[in-house]
Amino acid sequence: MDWSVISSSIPVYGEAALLTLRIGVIGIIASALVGLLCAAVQSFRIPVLRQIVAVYIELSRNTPLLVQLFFLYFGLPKVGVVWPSEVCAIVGLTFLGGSYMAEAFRSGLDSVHPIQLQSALALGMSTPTAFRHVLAPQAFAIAAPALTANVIFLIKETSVVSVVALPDLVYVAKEQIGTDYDTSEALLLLVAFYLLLLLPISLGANWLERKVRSNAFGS
Amino acid sequence: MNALLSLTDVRKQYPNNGVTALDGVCLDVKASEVVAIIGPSGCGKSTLLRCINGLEEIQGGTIRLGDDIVSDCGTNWRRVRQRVGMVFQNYELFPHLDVMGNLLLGPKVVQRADRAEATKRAQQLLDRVGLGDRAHSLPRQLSGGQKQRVAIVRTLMMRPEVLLLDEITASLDPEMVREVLDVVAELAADGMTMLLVTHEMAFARAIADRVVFMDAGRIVEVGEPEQFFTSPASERAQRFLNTFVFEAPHKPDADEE
Repeated sequence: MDWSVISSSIPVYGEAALLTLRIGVIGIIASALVGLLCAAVQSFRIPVLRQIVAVYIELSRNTPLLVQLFFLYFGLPKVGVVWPSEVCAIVGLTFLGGSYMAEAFRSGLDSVHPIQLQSALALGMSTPTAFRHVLAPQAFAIAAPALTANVIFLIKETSVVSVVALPDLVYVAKEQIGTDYDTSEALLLLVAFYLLLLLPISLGANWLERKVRSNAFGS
Repeated sequence: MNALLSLTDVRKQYPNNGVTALDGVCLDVKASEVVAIIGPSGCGKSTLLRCINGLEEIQGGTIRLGDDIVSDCGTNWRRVRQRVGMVFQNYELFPHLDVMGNLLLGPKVVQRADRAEATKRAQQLLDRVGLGDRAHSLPRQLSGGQKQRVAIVRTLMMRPEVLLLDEITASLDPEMVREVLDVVAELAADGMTMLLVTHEMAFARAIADRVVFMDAGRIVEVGEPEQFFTSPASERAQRFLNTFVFEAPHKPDADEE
């Protein structure tokens, strides 16, 4: 193990980690929005949209992110749609994450008793208002563990974005191994940086989960 | 005097199983009147309340509130529901909000009320029902009776003209029934118009101006409480009331044999 190689490589990995984090954060926020929307469509059984969402969820959950990225990066240009690598990565991650988030939100919504909606409607709220102020907060608290698991899952999934030529952590490590044969150093740095990214997120997620749950139901 | 709430030939059928829940119900409720609806389980009394504020759709008849017909297809239920408040059997407080949050949500998101004013009114109402010190408790920290009192106040916050109370003491432990009924009695004394479905016969007798007895989706008998409970006109009401009378079971003599 050559420690000088490691210390001199740290800035390159740092930059790659920031890219991983950026794709991850934007992708996760977009996934959560897509997921919330899909869950609302399914929960309220909105015709037509509901079927579209069902197809999307099956398509998204049953194809690997790697294949989805190939499709976006190499397939779409054939029909004249050319997106930069980073856009492909974010769209791909959102396409994957949206369905996972949808399922998490839906399980949360399903466990809020329907009479809670009636109780909100009986006060004169519209359904969207009731959704926003009464159903979603409760569903969110119930879904918190599944949602935070998704966040960590999606950040780990970003490790395949190097296939669309993005210099993320995996890409940088492969480069280092391929050009300098610093295999051990590269792998050590790779593991260390992923842990550096994910451990705080994981701990933060645990904390948030406890806080949300105790706020809502005090268990 | 005109009726505040008027039902004419209201019909309701559940679409999925074809069961007729309401079979031509007619009922007029005057302002400040307290009407107790009683009857066996499944007679349609809860459904009747839920049709009045549009939680269930009716298939025939009309429902009038003041001068407005509220049961046609163009009904703005959001407006009607502010005029007709409903309290549920299981309180249905919002578990993620504290007591004050529960009370202020309706005024805030439905009526866009002034926050300071609404808070002041909420505190006054809480004081009145004896929960002045629980404004910042979460629903799970309250007893059933306390939750139901908060639920009543939450409905009152919208300044309804009519209150629908759907078996509001049915889920309570017996020792908590009283504190909730006291609140209802006080509202009645203040002149609140109320339609209540209940199994508390003594309470119905004490508080109601009129008792409505329903069976199989129809109103069988309407009467003054004293007259109804002492000598009901219909045989079905008589039989129903008898189910609340307990007689010591006949004990066979131990030595007999």
